[in-house]
Amino acid sequence: MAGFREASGDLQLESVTKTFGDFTAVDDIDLHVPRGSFFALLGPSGCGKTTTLRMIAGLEQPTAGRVLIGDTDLTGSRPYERPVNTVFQSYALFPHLNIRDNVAFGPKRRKAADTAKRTDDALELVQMSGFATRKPSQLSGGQQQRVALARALVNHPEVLLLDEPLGALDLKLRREMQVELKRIQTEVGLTFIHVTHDQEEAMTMADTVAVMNRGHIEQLGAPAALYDLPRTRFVANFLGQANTGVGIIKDTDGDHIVADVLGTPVKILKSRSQVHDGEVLFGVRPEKVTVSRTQPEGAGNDVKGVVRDVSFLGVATSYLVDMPSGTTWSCYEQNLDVEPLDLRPGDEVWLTWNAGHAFGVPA
Amino acid sequence: MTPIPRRRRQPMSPPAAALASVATGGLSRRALLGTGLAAGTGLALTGCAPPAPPSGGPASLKLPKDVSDSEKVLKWANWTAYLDMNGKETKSPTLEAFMEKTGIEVSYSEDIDDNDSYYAKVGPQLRAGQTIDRDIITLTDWMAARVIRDQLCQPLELIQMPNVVSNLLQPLKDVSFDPGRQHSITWQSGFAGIGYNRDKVGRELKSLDDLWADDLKGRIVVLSEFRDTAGLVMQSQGVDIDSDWGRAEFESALDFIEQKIEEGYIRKVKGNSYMEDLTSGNAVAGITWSGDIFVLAFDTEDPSWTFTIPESGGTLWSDNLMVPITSTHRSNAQLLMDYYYDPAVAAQVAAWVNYVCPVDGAQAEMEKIDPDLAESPFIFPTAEYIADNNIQAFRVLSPDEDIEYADLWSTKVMGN
Amino acid sequence: MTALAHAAVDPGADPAAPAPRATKRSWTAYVLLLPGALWLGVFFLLPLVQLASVSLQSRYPGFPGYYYRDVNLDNYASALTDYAPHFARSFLYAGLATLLAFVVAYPLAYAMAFKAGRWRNLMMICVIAPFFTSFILRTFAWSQILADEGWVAGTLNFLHLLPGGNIINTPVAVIAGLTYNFLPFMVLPIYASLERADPRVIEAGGDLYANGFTTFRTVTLPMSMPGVLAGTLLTFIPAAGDFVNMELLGPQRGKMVGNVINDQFLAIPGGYPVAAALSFTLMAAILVMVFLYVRRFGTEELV
Repeated sequence: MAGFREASGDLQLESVTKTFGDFTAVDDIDLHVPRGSFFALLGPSGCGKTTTLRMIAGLEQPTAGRVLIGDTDLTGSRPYERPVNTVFQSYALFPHLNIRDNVAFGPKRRKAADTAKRTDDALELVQMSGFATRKPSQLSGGQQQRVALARALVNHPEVLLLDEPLGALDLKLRREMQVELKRIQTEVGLTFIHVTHDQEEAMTMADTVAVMNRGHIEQLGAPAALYDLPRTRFVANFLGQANTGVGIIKDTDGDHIVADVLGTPVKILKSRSQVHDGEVLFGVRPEKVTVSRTQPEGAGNDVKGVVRDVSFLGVATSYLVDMPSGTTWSCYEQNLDVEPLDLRPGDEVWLTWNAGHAFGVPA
Repeated sequence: MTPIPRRRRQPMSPPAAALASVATGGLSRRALLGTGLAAGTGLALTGCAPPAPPSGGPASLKLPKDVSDSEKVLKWANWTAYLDMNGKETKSPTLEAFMEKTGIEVSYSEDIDDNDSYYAKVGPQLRAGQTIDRDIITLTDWMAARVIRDQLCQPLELIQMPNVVSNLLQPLKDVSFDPGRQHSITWQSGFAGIGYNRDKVGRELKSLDDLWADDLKGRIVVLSEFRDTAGLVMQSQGVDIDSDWGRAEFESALDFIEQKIEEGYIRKVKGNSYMEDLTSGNAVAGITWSGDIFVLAFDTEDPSWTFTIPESGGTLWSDNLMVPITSTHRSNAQLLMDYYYDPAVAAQVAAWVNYVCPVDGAQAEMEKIDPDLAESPFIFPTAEYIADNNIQAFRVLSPDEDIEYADLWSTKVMGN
Repeated sequence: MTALAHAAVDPGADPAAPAPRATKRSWTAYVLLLPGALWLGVFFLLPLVQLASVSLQSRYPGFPGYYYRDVNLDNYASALTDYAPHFARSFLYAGLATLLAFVVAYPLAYAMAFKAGRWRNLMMICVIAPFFTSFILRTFAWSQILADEGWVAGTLNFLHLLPGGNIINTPVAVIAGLTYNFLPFMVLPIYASLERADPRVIEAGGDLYANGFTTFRTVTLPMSMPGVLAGTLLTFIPAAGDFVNMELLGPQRGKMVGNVINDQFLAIPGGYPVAAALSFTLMAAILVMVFLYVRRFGTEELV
């Protein structure tokens, strides 16, 4: 294949910017994705994640910056010259070709000697061998998704790009496919770049998640780290739920800072707060909050509130509690006790949490 | 199916022949019916018998009730540019005057493009006894002959038309296809000859052979009406087209025309749309109808458009007014026919259409309108003019010849 | 194999797989079909039967314009022998016009679908606008434009690029006229099929190592085949039966079958049966050709 560039190694984006007219879709991002990792680009629609993906694929060219795999600079090369393949949103299978020909499309273009075997193997991998002679229109969404995956994987790309690959599937199937994708990634050991707006999906599958917003990468890290310690207000709110309040830092207490949130003093570990004076957005995750009828002893971080709503979820119970400050907190209690709390809307309750679980981000 | 608009005026053999004071020797209706029956019998022997002849006898003729007294309306089907028109070509002054005078509302439509196509359209309806929504139709002699033979028009009451009786040119009073003019009245007549642009050709064209010159190759159009085109060629080959001749003479003319097409002299064989080729410059000369060339000269303001009767002779035809068998306004129709036989009215029409006027006394009236036109042999030809220029009517064809020659023409010349 | 069996042996099958639709027939369907069926019966089938009957009749000897009920297969014999060259010419000219129309229409439709941007609507109007005047008038206009003393022929003659000296009244003019007149019938279906194509599918071609041309050849073109197929049929079928272009733009020799039918109907006394036989033969020939063509190049959308 003329023009095809062999490349191997980590994927790197260096100061990549993409503008469309006046609109900056991707704003000077740097990214380093180690070879063989499962990397998720997470963000709301319009955050620039798909544009980033398309620049890696070669479907768009960056306005500035470079795209590299290993030491090979791929900037400016055409999609068909890159060792990169894409699983497109809504799959983009070739409607006029049967499943086998869809999968064999890439190897045939590259004149691979073992096209037939590779095609069989790829179909086998996604468990679609029995459908080789069907047309895409005769398959369900999940089946088409598998074919799209096989069609990309069969080429053994250095980087596999997945653009909202599970977006069109129903919840149950999505769960199954998440596990399946993870299995395949582990099996083939390729670099996967997964674009999604579904934070749960990103957290379930990826080794590393980059949260994007307005063309920037807000925060990058392991899913648990991102969840536990968000560093921006956007990440705090986008990734899971958080009970938050804006406060003013008044004091310090050993390892903690003390902030006044609408009249209630709260403590945050200095190491878990991005700001140490002035305004801070205090936050604590719902499952880190304990609900009780009486004020627990000795705990520093507690607030009195009024139950607004109770939802029994089986493994847990979810409460909505109106706070004196006027905000509503969400609390998530595991149903560990034999005797439940038996709270009803209108009951007064005390909310407590471990100061070590709270976090502070710039307000 | 609507054909491409094309006006094809067929030469009228019998009136033309009559006008030229030539015995036609045409077949009578009885004789024609006899032929048909004989042919039918002949086929019966081969086991492929046609049913009884299409026409019933005269006894079977049933006329619809004439409601002219209560319905003062009349619908007239005619050819394009065949009636005097005002400056904007929206209304006819003579027709307006007729409506004023009689109170009859005339609806005038130029819906006849071609004898064959028009008859192909209305013939089946008339045979089925259905109305065609017309009270007067205008057809060329040979087609009029067919309509009369098929008994698809109404007999006319000459006693109701004093102008016609006194002013119809003597030779036209008794034509072979309609003895005593019981069914049809002549509307206009005309010639076929050579039409050309003298400036573009650069010389005068006098004979048919003058058309087959190398500098005119591919710039000649001829009429698709075989009675004109084949007629002129037969005349140039020395045939008297109004007397006895047969298939051999006809085929020889067709072979000649075919050869001229193959050699590229004749570019197109067309109906009235040949005018467009002359206008656009695709053709500069051809076999044309007389009136058209005068209209062309007038419309293009180019006096070098010339019509001439070839040295070997030209053809003469007439178109005739008839009342279709299903019309319920025969009396109104007769009033109109009579009106147009008023010499003053006829002269007015002739001054505009430039075709041969069939009305006695119109020439004197024309003196008052335009003395030059009164002298024009193309409007008021004298018997001497017609005889001297060998202007003849194509002889009446027997029904069998009619079919046979139309086929030959279609295959050899039209390229079908 | 049924969908159920697949599900049993293959974990790739999932509950969302489309199951064969239950073939439940309801009388409502037939009631809804009724108006269409009536329409077809009265305005298509009945005339067709009438035409078939006429095509077997004979001319009435001695009565020009009359014909009588008969079983005369000579009409068909004549259609197949005397007029074989006319049929061949019709199919040749229609075929060439279809090919030319395709060559012109595809890039145009492609540009409209993918490149036109805000010009798309304007281009669409330009393609459709000629339909606002009559077919015959447009063809007549071409006869004026291509006339010997028109500027097209004038310019070409001036440059000595016109060996015959004229454009009009040549087969070239006829084929050009047919191409022009039926071009929109080619453009619109191709445009529709390209416009409907998911741009990601075309991107997928590039992503899977096909360069621009290969992507076009292996993805874009095959995906637009239903439109190409519809376009070629919509062009070829009317072009094969057309007589207007030949009449107005063509030479005196070498007519198409449509002209023969027209003349048999209108200019030849009693030509109806032969015209009907010719029409039927033309219809049958086109049906056979279309059938073979669709069998060969057809897609699910059309077969």
